[in-house]
Amino acid sequence: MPREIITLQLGQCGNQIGMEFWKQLCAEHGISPEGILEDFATDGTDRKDVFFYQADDEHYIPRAVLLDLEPRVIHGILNSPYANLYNPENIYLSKNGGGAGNNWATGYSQGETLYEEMFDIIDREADGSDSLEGFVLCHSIAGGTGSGMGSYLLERLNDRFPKKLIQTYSVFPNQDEISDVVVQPYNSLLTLKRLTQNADCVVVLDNTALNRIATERMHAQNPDFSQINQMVSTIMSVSTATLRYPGYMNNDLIGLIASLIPTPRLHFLMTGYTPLVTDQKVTTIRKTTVLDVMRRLLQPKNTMVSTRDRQRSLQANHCYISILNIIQGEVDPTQVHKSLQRIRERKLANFIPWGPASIQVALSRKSPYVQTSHRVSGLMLANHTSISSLFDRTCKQYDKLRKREAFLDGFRKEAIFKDNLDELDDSREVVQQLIDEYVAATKPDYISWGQPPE
Amino acid sequence: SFCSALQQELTEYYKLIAVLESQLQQEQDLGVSLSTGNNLTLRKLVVWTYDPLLRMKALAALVDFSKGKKGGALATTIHSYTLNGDPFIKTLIRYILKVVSYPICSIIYRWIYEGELEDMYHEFFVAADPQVKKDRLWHDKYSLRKSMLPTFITLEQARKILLIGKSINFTRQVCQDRTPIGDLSFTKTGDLTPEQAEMLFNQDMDSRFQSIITTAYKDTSKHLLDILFTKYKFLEHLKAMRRYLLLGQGDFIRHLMDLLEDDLCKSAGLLYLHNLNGVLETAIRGTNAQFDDPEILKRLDVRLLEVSPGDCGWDVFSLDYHVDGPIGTVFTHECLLMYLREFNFLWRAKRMEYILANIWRAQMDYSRKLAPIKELRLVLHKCHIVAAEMVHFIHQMQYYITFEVLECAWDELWKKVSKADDLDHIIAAHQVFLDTIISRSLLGDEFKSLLTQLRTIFDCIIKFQHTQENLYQLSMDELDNRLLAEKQISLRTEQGEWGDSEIDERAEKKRRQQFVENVVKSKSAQMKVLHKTYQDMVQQFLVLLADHPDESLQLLGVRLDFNEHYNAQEPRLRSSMTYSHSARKPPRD
Repeated sequence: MPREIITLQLGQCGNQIGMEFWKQLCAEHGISPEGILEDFATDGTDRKDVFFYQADDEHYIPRAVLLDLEPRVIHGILNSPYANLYNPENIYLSKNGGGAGNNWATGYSQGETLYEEMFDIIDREADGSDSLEGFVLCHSIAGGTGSGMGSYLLERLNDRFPKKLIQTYSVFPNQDEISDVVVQPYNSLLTLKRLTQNADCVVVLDNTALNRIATERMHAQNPDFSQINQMVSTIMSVSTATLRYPGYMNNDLIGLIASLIPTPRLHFLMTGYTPLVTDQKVTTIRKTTVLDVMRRLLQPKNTMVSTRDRQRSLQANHCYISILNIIQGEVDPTQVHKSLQRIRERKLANFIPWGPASIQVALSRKSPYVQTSHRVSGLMLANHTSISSLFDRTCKQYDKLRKREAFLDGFRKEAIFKDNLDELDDSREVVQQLIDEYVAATKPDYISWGQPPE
Repeated sequence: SFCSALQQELTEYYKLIAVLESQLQQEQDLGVSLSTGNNLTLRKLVVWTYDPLLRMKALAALVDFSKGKKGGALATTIHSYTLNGDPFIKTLIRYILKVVSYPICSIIYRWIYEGELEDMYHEFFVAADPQVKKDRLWHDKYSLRKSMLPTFITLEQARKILLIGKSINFTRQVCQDRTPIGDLSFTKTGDLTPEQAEMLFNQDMDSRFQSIITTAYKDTSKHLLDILFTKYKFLEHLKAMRRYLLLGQGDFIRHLMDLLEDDLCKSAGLLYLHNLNGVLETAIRGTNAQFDDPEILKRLDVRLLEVSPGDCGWDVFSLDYHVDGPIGTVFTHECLLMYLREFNFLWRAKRMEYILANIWRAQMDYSRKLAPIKELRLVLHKCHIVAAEMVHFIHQMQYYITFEVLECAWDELWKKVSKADDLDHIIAAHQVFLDTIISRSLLGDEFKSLLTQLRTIFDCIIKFQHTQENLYQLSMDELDNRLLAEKQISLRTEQGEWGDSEIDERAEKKRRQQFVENVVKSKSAQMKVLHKTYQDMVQQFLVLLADHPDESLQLLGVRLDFNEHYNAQEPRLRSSMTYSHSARKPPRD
């Protein structure tokens, strides 16, 4: 089966969102928690083989690799109804079970140690596909395993599969609350370097924004992970919907992201989704049109990245590099163009000044097996220069810590920092360059960006 | 029938003559002296023969006018006399008409209930051409013979009558279906009496005929469509056309391109149909196409278009779909040719998307690999910018095709087909669909300049691909050389020598210089020219679009320049765009 995608779930966070993702996919494709195709789903025209492979006639197994250095989440999965969904050989749990202690360097070193075991699984999985399209990595950038081991994995994947796409769903830490992980800024910065250099496309899942959405829009007093993970799995499943329900366009990952990412490093995407759960009232009042959906997607309150300090964003001329709206539900195709025109006339979206850009709209089929109360829903994947402010914040926090040389002992213990802390400085530089490039992309002369100083 | 009516009239007349004669005879026999009251006086004779004379006159006139006419035409002629004010003549003519229409009526009955055309002398208003074979039965075999259409039957009714019988014949002969159609209560043609024939020309008062036609039309058409939809899976074929010839089955098309890529880059003469058929099979088996109805899949085939010199595989490759039997009536040869033209257009556009995906893939890969060569940064950045513009263009083009060309036209077709009352409606809707997509895909004659411009843009993209590949190749060689040099330095350092010998250093420096001179500079210049050419082409294309009266093409222009990037650079575009903008102000909501 062509153009398969292998999902790699790393660390607690990665495995949690990964599990939600598979739950969602199983529901959409009519696959039971045991991996058995339900009777009602046998004559579907959906493509299951992008994300699943068939063990036998009715048995579907996710192309997923589950890796963690501590057992809690994976044990949770193995005690859930979905325990038998995964190929047990694809679940790797570090023998010592100690975790990475929320330390990037520990995670990175353990990655090196476990290289053979990890790549045994990944290679086998890759060999099992006809023409692998690429990898999707789920992880968080703040902890130890997802960030440290994830960084190591990204580097090696690049060496080993240079022609394959690497997309990540990367969870950025919540900046509104004080984290108990004091070295979080170090972890984030070091991971950001790999995301910049070794990934082809990073979908930024910002816990700050997700939490705000959960509290403000979904009226949850203390949003727990399950609500946030629900949002994340929705984003993941809708952004892959066009791959699973083939149509004229957007049938592979590369087609989906190539138009979003004009230059190799500007590959950090933000997402938006509508309707969020409690928006139901709105939909019952009148019929949701394509224009409604597209307009809502452009509103900052529906965007799942907390970068839009509007005032500053305007000052810095931040703008969209590209937008892709994936719309599902009962949509009249003749309305799409009219909506685009309206958005253009009202200048609802600011675009880059150095090249052509526009809103792409893809209509996608929806799973017939999952009932939703919304007739129309939309996901926005956007490349916006203001995402750099998220990296900027990480850098500032890092600088504060670094100035005091705080909490570096845990890092110095590991091989990569034994001699010096150059790796930190180097990462800081890479991230700064990334920020600079995003800022440059707000200006017309980005066309000649990178001119070596003479 | 007219003759027989005349015959009857004449017989009447003869009878009258005979009566008169016999009376005369009597008188002569009995002598004049006898009863005077009963005498056949001249006056009496006049009175008696007055009516018959009128009749005879009228009949003679009729005969004169009807000379050489037959069937429906005759009925028309006679019908024109029914407007005579004289109630006497009116009754007479009506009577004659009744007799004359009786056979017409019975032919109609046979035709609309059994599909039999009992018309030895070509007197009926439906004509059949026995030369026409089954595949053209619907389109060509039957036609209206307007000269034979009685005026009391409207053209609308005649068309329906033609359609009903045609549907029956189509159902029987082409669809091989012999199940009885609809309500049979009228089918006994034998029950028909001349009295009933009156309803034909008495439609103002009598709506029986109209309702008979309407019922028969509904029954037969519905029956025919049912057979077409169920037994012959018309809708499935229609969808299959969209999935395969209009590239709707995206995963299959992409896989097919993956498999064909190497073959199609070769010269067209080197392609072999049987190899391609194998590839088609593989593509089907590898994708969701495998779950399709085998009945549909077996019709899917590869076709090679006519090769002209210099063509490569991409130019001549085409998918094909075999149709026969009843569905061939909708998917006629002409229709299939339109599908193939559309396929060719979509296939080219798809290929551009495919090429650009590969270009993008290479850029991601090489931007990492070539990062160590700082001198390349600017030219690589330029490559990215150019490619991004191309990706934008092709993707917007593809979105335009998705919505404006395929989705919207399909939506309309689907609505019409599901509401269609008869096969003609479907054929017409399908034709409109094809015309729409062909013209929106710039394939009409009036779009030649646009299409040519589009092709040059496509060619430019292919050229860009080659230039970039070449740049990467040369740069990778340079990278290897640099790595080699560094390796030697570190090797010597390990051996305790000076890492850097002066000669090597000079050679290395020289090579680097040469690389910058020969590769970086020349490729930068090439890229610059290419970028400029490309932008000019796109702007030219946009100018053509903006000037075009077709609204959907103006929409394409809006899509391609959504953020007015080209608009800002091209004064011609500005003027024409603003013009078209003020010309169609959007309604307020």
